[in-house]
Amino acid sequence: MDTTNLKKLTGCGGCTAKLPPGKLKEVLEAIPKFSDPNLLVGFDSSDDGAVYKLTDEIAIIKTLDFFPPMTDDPYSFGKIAAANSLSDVYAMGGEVKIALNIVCFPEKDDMAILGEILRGGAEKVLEAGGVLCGGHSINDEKIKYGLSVTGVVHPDKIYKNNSCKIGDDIILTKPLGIGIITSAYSVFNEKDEAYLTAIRSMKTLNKSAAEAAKSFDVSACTDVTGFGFLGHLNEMSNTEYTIVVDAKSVPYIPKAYEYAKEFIITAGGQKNRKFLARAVKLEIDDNPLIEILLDPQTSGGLLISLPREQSGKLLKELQKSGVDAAIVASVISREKPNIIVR
Amino acid sequence: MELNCIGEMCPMPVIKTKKALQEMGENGAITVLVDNIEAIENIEKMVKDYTGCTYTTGESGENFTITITKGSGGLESNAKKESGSVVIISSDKMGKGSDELGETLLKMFIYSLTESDVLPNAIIFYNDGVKSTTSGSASIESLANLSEMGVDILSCGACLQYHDLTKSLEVGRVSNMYEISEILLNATNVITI
Repeated sequence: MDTTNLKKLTGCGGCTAKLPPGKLKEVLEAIPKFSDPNLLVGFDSSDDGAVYKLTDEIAIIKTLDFFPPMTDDPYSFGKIAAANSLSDVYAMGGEVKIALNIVCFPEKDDMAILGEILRGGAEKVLEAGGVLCGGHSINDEKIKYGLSVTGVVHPDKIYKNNSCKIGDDIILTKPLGIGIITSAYSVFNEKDEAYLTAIRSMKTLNKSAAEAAKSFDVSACTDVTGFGFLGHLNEMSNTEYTIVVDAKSVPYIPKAYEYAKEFIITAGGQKNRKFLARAVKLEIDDNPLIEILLDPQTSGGLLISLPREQSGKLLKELQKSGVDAAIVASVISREKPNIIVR
Repeated sequence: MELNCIGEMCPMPVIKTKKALQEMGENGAITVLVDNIEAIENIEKMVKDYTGCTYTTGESGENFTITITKGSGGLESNAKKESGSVVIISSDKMGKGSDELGETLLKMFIYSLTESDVLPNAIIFYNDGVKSTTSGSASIESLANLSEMGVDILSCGACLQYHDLTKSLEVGRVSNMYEISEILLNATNVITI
């Protein structure tokens, strides 16, 4: 199997390939707005997926995600892209039901590569408890893969992303540093421990984390992807409160810090930094750590906001199910910026 | 010298620029050409971290340029590293023996910390140690510099009171035993002078 095409592209893969958030917002503001009382979550709140109420008991969650490879192993790429797409359903508090493949693939390339990508993706849908039932493929120069996923949720139990409450703690369920480590791999081509940890983390579904959270009073939830930890926390903010990050407690893959110190950093991280300049007040001056907080993640963890009295218990539950979680921030009454990092 | 990084994604332009700067002799200059502004901004972060380099940025059609001039200072990192260490100074002298020598040694020790590549997270002064952070101390300037570099300078409040020096504190802040014990327990290593 010739995977040169995969390898050539890995530099800009995963969620680092997202369009910059500022530019996207401008475009979205200019398109017609829809109003339907059954549309419970649309893209005006920059939430993870859309939610549409069918009955008083059932709402459907729709989400679509796809991106270029961040690894030269097609089977792993398939798993990662699928885990990333499925994550939006978990971030909304739902259950995965059906999934469709979305594929861009060069017809001159070895079809066995595509087979491996699709096998990895299908296995993740199976693990999520969903059904893979079709898809669409396009002949394109550059490989891209992902899923369109449909999930269900009770309309009263949807997790919105910007409905935190003052007095909440916020838990992160996967370590950061994925973007930096996969970029470093594109330069050094070394499959070291840090790289393998990153791949393992990206392949992991947010299913266990979401299931553990079900028995708690979650007030808001989202997942960390291309806009980085601080970018997605910013999407969790509103004008009623401020989120305070305890930088020392944020988990990351240690090698990412060493890379960031050597300026092995991404353009995506820099785009996030510019977009967040006014929203985030940095009270720390540890530059490599700041790079990690801004680093675009592929298939990142969930950010779960819940009352402080319950956060310790959920943290224990998460750790018991093998989730590498930590309490990373707290929600306080409104101060000037959306987010303070200290 | 020119370095063309058109079509290259971060971190490649940063890595290539750094390599070129390292291989270049003193007082050389390099112009790097890239096709996205983020690459320029990431190169700026790297250049700012090194002493003896100056730079200007510009645009060339749809592309961006940064010209870096390497001074005679070599390519040494500006960044002081945090060590997780905490230094305790519990006397106004260093070592036993001559008092006069002990006072000079302590002053030299504090000065040498300002020149070190690795900084402690905090320096804690207690008992006679608080004489270094109060009026009349020969180390005020060095301690003010360390404080500016981010080192937490703490004087034990009870000790200041005991020596009637509370109003004479010149640098850093007053602390208490609860905070001091917490800092010591969280330190990766503690150096007692």
